[in-house]
Amino acid sequence: MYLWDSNILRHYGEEHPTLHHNVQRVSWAEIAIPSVVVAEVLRGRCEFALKAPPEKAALAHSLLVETQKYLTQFNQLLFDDKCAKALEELKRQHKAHKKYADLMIAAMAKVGKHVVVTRNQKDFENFLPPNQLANWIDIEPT
Amino acid sequence: MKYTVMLKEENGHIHATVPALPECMVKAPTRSEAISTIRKAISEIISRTEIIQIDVSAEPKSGSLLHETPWEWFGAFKNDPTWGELFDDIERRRNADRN
Repeated sequence: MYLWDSNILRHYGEEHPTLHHNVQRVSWAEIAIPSVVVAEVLRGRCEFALKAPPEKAALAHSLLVETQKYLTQFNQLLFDDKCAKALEELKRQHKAHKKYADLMIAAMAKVGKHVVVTRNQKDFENFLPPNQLANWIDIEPT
Repeated sequence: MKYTVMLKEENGHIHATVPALPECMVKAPTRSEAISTIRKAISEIISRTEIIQIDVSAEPKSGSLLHETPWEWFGAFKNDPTWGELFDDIERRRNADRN
């Protein structure tokens, strides 16, 4: 499957033309969002809804519900026990400080042999081979 | 417990059904009578029903995947100024959450 990083999910909501071309060439069933990204997006929306000043509260709650609906349009891949074991292994191999969410996504990709689709390929280069990385924003399909 | 009841008028009668209990359906001449009767019917079914939850280890087949690209959501947030901020914040947090 093609596992979308958060920056790709962002550009789907922004109507990015190159992403449009890349999505067209695969089946939607081959695309999934890692539960890590789902958590990050909902955390942001939930915090906005819970901390918004009165003049922005209605908007914040409306955006939370709309974003939930948006996320349900995507296949979502669960971070499971196998991913947790792979994460432990990655942490052991890469003791230098790494972004934890990136490690979690990389672990999911390793377990399922998925391709991580991201604009930040450099963040994953130490964990995944080139054939498990793709950038659907800056690179047009061939 | 609360149950969702669907009331549909048909040939001068009110048909009441309960989506959560497919076998539960009644027909009555008035709305209030339909509600009263379906309440009794639900109670009767529930009184002889045990509700349990079970774990199933099988993985869903690929058929359970979403197949239709939701193009109606493509660009759904392009006019939302908070959309970019949301993802900028995610990036900031990832950089801060170095393990």
